[in-house]
Amino acid sequence: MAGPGYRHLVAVTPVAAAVVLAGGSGTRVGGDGNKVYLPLAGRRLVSWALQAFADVATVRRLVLVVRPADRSLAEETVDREVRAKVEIVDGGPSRHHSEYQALAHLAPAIRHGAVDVVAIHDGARPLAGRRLIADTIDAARVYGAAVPGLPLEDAGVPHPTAGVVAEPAGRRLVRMQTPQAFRAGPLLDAYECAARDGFVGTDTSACMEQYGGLPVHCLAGDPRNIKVTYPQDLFLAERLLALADYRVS
Amino acid sequence: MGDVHRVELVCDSCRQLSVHELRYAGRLLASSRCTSCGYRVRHEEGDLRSAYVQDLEQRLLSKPGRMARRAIRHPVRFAASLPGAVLSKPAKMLAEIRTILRR
Repeated sequence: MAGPGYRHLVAVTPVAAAVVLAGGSGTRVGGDGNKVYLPLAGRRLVSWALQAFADVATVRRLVLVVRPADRSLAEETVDREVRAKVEIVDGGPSRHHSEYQALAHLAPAIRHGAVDVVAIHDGARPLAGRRLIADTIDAARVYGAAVPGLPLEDAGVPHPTAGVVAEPAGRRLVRMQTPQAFRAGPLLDAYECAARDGFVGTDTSACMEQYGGLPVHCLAGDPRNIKVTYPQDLFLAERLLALADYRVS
Repeated sequence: MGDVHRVELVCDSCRQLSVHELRYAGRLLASSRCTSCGYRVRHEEGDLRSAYVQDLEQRLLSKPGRMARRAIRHPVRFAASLPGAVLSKPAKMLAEIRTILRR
């Protein structure tokens, strides 16, 4: 039924993969588990981000990286709360290793050109909107690497002798957010090089800057895209969702 | 989901990453307590009650859709769990109301 023109369209349609990190590192005695599985307005926290990615048209593969101990909880959460296919991958001991596990899982599709961009997102950020996700992926296609950020007002930088000083002239400090999106091939290459060298980056862009050779483009972040770190963040996220009628746009 | 969860968060008061006890009323977070320093954060009383009523309304409206989705995806599991879910609902609602009143 599909003519040659249709096949051509399918062949050039860009396809992105999203990786949501839910590895966490909670290890203290008395904690039941991982904050990304906390209830938030009727769903678990991580489900909000997964559904937002699933609702972005260009995202065709969705990978959730979990702690092996959380696998059954993750499967139950995805089955019950996310209306999309989610591939669950066991993570590693650090964020960097978890990202590498996800990229290794996607490697065949990346090598075959079926996935051209990979967006990596922190599962503790439930309110990343569809527009921010789509804009970040689009920017990664243009620039190679894209990261949303917000200007850091009244920021200072540590100085070896003078304590904390105002930010240097000509430089603007930015608070980075996720998703961070990258061209898939260079990203996979960078992580493979890092694995050979034993390099462990603090986030995706750190590894990309070290090995990827692509400048990281910073686009405007969204102040609602908060990371749940403090208890107050949960109250705020709950309120923001209620104000948005429980839709992340 | 039970109504009390214990997870690691950074305390607003002592700034330590410590286990926090989070108490929920239905889908709403009613209060949090740092188990390290005891610092509590909670909704204003009237604010929580009105938010709970609003949320309950939303839950009731969306319940048929949620049940239908579950029934379609896992008909056997859904049918098997339905009697237990119906029987336990009044106790769950009472627990939620108690949480709202006590916080």
